[in-house]
Amino acid sequence: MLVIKLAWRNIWRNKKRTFVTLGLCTICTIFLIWYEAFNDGSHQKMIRDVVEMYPGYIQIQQKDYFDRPSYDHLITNVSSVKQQLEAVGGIQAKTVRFEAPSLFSSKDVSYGGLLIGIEPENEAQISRLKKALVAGRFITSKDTRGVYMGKDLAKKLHLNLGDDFVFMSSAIDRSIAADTVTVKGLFESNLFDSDIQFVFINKAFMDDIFLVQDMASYMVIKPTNISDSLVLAETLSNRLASTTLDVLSWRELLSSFVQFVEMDEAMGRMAIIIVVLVVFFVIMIFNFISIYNRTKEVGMMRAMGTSDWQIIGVLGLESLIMTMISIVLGTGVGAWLALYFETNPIKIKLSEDVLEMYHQFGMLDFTIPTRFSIDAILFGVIMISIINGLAIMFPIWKILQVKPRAALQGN
Amino acid sequence: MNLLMVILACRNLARNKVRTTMVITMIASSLVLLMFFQGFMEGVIEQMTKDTVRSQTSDITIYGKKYRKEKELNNRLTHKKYVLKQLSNIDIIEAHFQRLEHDAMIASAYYSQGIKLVGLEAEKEKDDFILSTRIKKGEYHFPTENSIWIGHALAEKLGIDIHRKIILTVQDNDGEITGEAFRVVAIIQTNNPKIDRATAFISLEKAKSFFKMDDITQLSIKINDQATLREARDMIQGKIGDPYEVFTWRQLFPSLQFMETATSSYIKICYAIIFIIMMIGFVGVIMMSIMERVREFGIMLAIGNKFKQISWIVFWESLIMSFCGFLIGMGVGFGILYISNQTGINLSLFGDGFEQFGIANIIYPPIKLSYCLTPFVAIIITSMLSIIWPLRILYKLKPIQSIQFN
Repeated sequence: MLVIKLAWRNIWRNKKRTFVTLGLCTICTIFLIWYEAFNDGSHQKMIRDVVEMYPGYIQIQQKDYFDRPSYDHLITNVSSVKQQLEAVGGIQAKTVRFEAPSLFSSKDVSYGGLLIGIEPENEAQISRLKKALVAGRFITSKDTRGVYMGKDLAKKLHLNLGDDFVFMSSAIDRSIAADTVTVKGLFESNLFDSDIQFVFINKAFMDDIFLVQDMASYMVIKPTNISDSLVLAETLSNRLASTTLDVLSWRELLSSFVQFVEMDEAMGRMAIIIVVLVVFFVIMIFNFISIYNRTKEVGMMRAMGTSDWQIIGVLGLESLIMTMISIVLGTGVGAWLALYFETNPIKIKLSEDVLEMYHQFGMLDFTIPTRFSIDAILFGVIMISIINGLAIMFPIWKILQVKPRAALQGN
Repeated sequence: MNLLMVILACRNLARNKVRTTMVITMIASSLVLLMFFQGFMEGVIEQMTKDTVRSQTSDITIYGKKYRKEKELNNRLTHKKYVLKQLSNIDIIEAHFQRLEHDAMIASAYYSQGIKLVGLEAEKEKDDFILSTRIKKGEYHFPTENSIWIGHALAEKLGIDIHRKIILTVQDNDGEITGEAFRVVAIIQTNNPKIDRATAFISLEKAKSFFKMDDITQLSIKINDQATLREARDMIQGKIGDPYEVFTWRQLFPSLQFMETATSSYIKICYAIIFIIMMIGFVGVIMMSIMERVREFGIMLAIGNKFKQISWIVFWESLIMSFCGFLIGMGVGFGILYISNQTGINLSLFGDGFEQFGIANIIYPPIKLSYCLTPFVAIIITSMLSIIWPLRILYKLKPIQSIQFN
């Protein structure tokens, strides 16, 4: 009790210094929590935007399709796989896609792209394609020749809503597959090259022309709980282990993108490390000043028989109290900021040219939310505790090096 | 007199070695990290700029009217001879390079996709564009008329390697769909995603016969003085007139300039935050150093020294401490940057797919003298600002009170 009393009195002996140290620690805690929440939030959004726009959280493919996406590696028993999936819990929606590289020709222009057969109603539950609509409407399962295509591709082919154009491709038996289709809707996803490459059509219509009844390039699964997507991928992988199918999670499907995001995260952390290092030095200097000013007092205590551990206890407790106060204040404000910017994301307006380049990094728009999480708060709390813990060690060690007599004499 | 103040300041600093060392270490270590951070970020931007710009164009680019917005053959660069004649009168032009670029469909036995097909003058471009240095496999040469180079990501997707054949299908100038087989003689890795994923190169002559036209779509100009880039653009535009549009590479790639500005602002913000925090530490140290010597300063004032002289001592103390930190930080920082510049920073520790985003796997941070400038100015400002408050407190103490101060 006496130790606590002593520590408390010592803290308030020099109010200005105490307030500066407390302010610094508190601001640092707020900054660490907010920055972690911002880093986490922005990167999660980048990944979520890209994953949900088209690739999906989990894909089931025939082995080798990922490395060589050709007709030689199609899923050939879609209905049976769907049946097997019925027995697995945690699946919110599933759909199939069939992708065929094609040449699109309008009256004046021809351009190469990807014709993709989808199940429109299921697709709308899995991806954000329907939400990316900019003109016309999304296709339905009743549409036969109606297509939903990228805005840039339509512009390239000089097409408007209601216009017809021809696709030319090859069916799975390598015979020519070609027909005339009509533009029903245009989308703008900003996802890599999809706006200039993708044309979506009802898969039922493709089945006859491409001879792909009960076949698909791959299946896409949306988990009920998105945070469990990796666990669900593992479960599905075990369930389908005896088949020739592969289950790929978004981490594998977008491995390069995930690496890029991780590197960006590491760069953000590097900036934090520099700030933390300076804060550490400043706090250590303040601790040193505070303890150094009491050299005589510590000498007196040691001359009177106070043990080194008791002195360490008093000085350590002072640091602990300061740390606790700054953690309480910093966590409160930091958590509030993280929560506020989660519901009110930071919006940055950029020119079209600049946005175009950021799209290739997965920034589909410039609305950046933070992510309020216990992890972000723990990160801030642990970091500031480590800084304060390390910053008190050297000053205590230094003061205990001074001999009691020398300390009393003020040397 | 000022020398005496400097000597006094040095002795005062040496009086409390631990405290002085702590401040110097704080400055030096922060500067080392900041310099490395700045070097790395600028290295990434420089590499991205070089890879993006020099794989597509030179300093200045001439297009036909509207071609930049609508890349169609109708908007191509016509009357090439007239343009070249006009350019021949401009001294600052060192070289020019012609390209013919249009959409095509590429197909292998496994896959097909839409790409950009570029016809270029390989030998002429060799030293000024980066393609010749980015051959991953094969050779920088079109040995036969139907030779083709393709991006490495595109090759992977098509499931082909060098010496394999691919089929190109294009819509020629007459609107006819036509196709030919080409043999891959080189696979290119530029770190420019657009090129690596969706571009193929053939000789300019072949491109002209393939698209059935004698015109080109792009004329790139290399000038002999980068400082006159904008003036050169205006001069060229003036000479060739309205049917053409002339752009500097900065105008063609505004996003790169934005990235450069954004990175530079981010680094400046980092510097500002770090130095504000550092100043708080500085103020504490100066305050303590002054309070320890109130009696000493009181005696100096009592025997006739002016407060200004005491202020100078404190200023020199602050400046010397900062400067030592600055010198050590710069020395170590430049040392680390030099090593990184020679060996490169290998990003493959994080993975090996960065080139998909325009970032090379190995980054070479540049070494610039300007890295000294911002910290130097910041150090001077920090050491000046951090003594104001402690000196104000000291000023409020009358000399006689100072002597009595315990």
